[in-house]
Amino acid sequence: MAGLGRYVIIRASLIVPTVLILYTFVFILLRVLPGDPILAVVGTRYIPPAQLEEMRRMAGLDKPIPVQYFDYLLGVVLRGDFGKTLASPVGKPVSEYLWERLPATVELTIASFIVASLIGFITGVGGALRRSSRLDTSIRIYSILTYTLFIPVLGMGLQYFLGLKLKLFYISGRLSAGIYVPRLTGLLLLDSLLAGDLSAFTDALGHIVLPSLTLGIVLSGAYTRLIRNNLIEVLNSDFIRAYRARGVPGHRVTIYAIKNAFIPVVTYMGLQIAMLLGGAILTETTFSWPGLGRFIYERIEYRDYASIQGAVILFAFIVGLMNLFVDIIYALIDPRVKY
Amino acid sequence: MALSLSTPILAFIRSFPQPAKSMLILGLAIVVSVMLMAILAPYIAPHDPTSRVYVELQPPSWKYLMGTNHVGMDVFSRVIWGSRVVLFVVVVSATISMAFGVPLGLASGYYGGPVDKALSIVMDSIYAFPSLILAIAVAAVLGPSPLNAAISIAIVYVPTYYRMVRGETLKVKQMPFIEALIVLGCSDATILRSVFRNIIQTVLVVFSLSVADAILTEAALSFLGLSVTWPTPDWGLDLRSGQPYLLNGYWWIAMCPGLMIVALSLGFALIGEALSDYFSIATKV
Amino acid sequence: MSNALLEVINLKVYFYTLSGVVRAVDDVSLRVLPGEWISIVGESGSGKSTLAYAIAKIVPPPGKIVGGKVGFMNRDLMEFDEEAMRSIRGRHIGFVFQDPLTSLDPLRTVGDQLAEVIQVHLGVSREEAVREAGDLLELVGIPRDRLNYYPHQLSGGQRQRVVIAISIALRPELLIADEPTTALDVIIQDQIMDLLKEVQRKGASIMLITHDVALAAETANRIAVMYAGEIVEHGNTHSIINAPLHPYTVGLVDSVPDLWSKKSVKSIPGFPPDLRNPPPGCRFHPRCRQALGICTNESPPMTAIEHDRYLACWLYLKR
Repeated sequence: MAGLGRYVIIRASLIVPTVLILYTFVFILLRVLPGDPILAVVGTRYIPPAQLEEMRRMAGLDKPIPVQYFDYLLGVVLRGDFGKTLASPVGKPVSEYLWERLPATVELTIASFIVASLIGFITGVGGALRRSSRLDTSIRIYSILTYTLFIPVLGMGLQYFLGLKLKLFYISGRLSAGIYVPRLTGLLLLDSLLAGDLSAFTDALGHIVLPSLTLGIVLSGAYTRLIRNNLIEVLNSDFIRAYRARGVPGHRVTIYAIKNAFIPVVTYMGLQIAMLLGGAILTETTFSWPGLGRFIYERIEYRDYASIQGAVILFAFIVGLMNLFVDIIYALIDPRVKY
Repeated sequence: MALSLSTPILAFIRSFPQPAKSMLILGLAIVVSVMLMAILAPYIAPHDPTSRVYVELQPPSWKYLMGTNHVGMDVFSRVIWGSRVVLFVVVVSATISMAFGVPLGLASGYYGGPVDKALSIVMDSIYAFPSLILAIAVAAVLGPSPLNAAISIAIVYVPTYYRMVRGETLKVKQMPFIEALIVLGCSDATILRSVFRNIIQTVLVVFSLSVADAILTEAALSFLGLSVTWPTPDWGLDLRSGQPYLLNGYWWIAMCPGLMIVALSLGFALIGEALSDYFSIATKV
Repeated sequence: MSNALLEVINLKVYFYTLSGVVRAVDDVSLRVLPGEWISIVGESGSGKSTLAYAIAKIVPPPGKIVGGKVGFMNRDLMEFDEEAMRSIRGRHIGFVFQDPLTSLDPLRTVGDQLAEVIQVHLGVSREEAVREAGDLLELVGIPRDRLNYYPHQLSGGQRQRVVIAISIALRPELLIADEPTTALDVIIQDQIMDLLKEVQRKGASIMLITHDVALAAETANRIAVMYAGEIVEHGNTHSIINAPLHPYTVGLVDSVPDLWSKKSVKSIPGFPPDLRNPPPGCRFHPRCRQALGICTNESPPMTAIEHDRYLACWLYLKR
């Protein structure tokens, strides 16, 4: 396992430039683009110049740009400090918002990921095993369609039919009013179970079904296509034919084929994270899900650049971390990766 | 004139094998009708899209094909006029990102070297980041307007074109006929032109698929209030403003423009799929 | 029936592709005696691999066995269902494929893959299977501690040895080796061939499928020459190599470079036909310098011209 430890460190050091580049990119964009964060917050209100100066100083915008760049970066890395918001309530640390909102996004993305993987696995394997059948054609259409399904449209469709008409699930929020779950991890499904509160768990489950189904369906198409194509390729490969020529039972051969088809899927999950987090913004907005995505949407109205910048940079770190995670999983399941 | 142009196009479409041909025809039909809708909006929209024409919240009827919205505007007329914003944003953004992404990818892949390495790392990093979040951040700073939405989308899609063009350039560069041009001592400009001719198929496929995706990004920006402002007709915005009424059973206000977003995106995706089948380029989603 | 181990009679395997029906194996008959080595020679695309797959009934789709009979150990394999075939494959018919790089599962250790085939067929315990697997590795000249290696950790030659170890694990009566040395370098090729000879010495029949006449002749008792889905000539190695009759066989033998003779290497002009639409008559006639009028419209029947010598060519047949 010492080898694995070294591998993780090397991979992690490769992730650092990615995160730094993203940080720099976001920083430059937000500084170079026309639009003054202070004036944006102030809007048309009259504020005395002295007070404007004070706000500028508080936001650290009076310092030279390179100093701002490193100050902010060090603040994030060393203290988890994402600056302070200039919009109301003025002076609230952005990090407080972020930590408050992060678990909801994590919970939603995990649930959506599970939905996407399940659908993608079943349809992808089904399509590959019955290649060129009518089932396979419909599965191909499904994967194209999910590529173009606009999240709010699918979300509202589900809200209308499953929520409003059939009354199966809640159509917005994370928890019904009056239900309280003590916060341990911030993941309501987990916390309610840990607290032994089954009714709260059911309530949370009833809330997460529609948003995670929405995001999950939209993401599943890419998995479907990837698993189908990989599996078809593997099924045609020499070693599968060799297995059959050795008299290995068909169901075992299928399992070995699926295992092999899965390796590229894991690599792809790294890219999928971007789609998952991007989709979370729209899903959270559609379902009033109080996560980071909806937070960004809310702060747009306040023109609260500090909060938007903080959330975007937090996303950059999450993307980096998740890519590292995918690399490690990949190394663990594929013996060909040397570490 | 029209005949002489349409003949080779029709022949091209006919040369597609099934099912790519059906996908291409369906895709083209969708895209062309939305374009016509945008161009002919003043003539085909039955009502003024921004003024109250009838009682509010009326379901679809023969007079008001898609019903009326919460302030009594004709949803059908708004859907027709709304096509203009989407197409404007998507065309402007695709032009900008191709104008940067394609030449950068071509030069980077062809010349190589440390600049190519650095540029690739930067582009890969941005590509790994959720494009929608980036577009939202940029659009939020620029302020809400269709042009700003187009600029933010353009920035976000540069890496998509760059990566694909660079990858193809690396492949084409190793082909014998390009090596021959190099050995013959042709100028870089000549060689690059030849490389470009050989990757244009890929660019076409990536263009169609990226536009399909950019339509959704545009819709997302206007859904989040970062493009046009009310009461300008726009699909994303109307979807958002119709949502509270949908949750009370008035589905048409949100769903009609919403389904148009999906249809238009589907149109481009189908064209992209058909082209990639035809050129048999493996599309890594 | 007969004393033959394998008796293929009028076998037809067609591939139903979108662009037409490919007659990959068309009316092929063949007999393999216990303990003998038969080499099947032909260009790529001549249907020789398909013939091998058809014997074990593992023709990949869209291929189908559309006619004929495969008799093996005096049983008719055409009447076997998939489950019954499974007990034949690996147990009584072993396979060695061309590319050792790709005929092992990259995600499982060679020990797992070796032990599996023993367990599947004999139902022994895992420990016993692993012990046996170790013995087999040593038998093919690989240290037993390599059981825990993944295929990518072995060299090409070692991998092919592993593949052979798997295919002989249950001492099958017939070992089909499909271009087993093509992907390997020359020295390793010799070692693999020696290993196959060893297998034959222990009593198995070997069917070697190759495009290489020299390799085919090296150890074979008999040689069958395939062209465009048909066997055109078939007989003992000595007579085929020293006195080839069919113009195609003559061409093949002449195309082998010989260090000790001055004769120049000749190649056969033209290309094999498209099997979706093979030429009428003898399938070789468009490339044949000696073609007669009859060759263009009537297919020559396979005829025994002397003891254990079969030929399908109008040049030597009387109508």
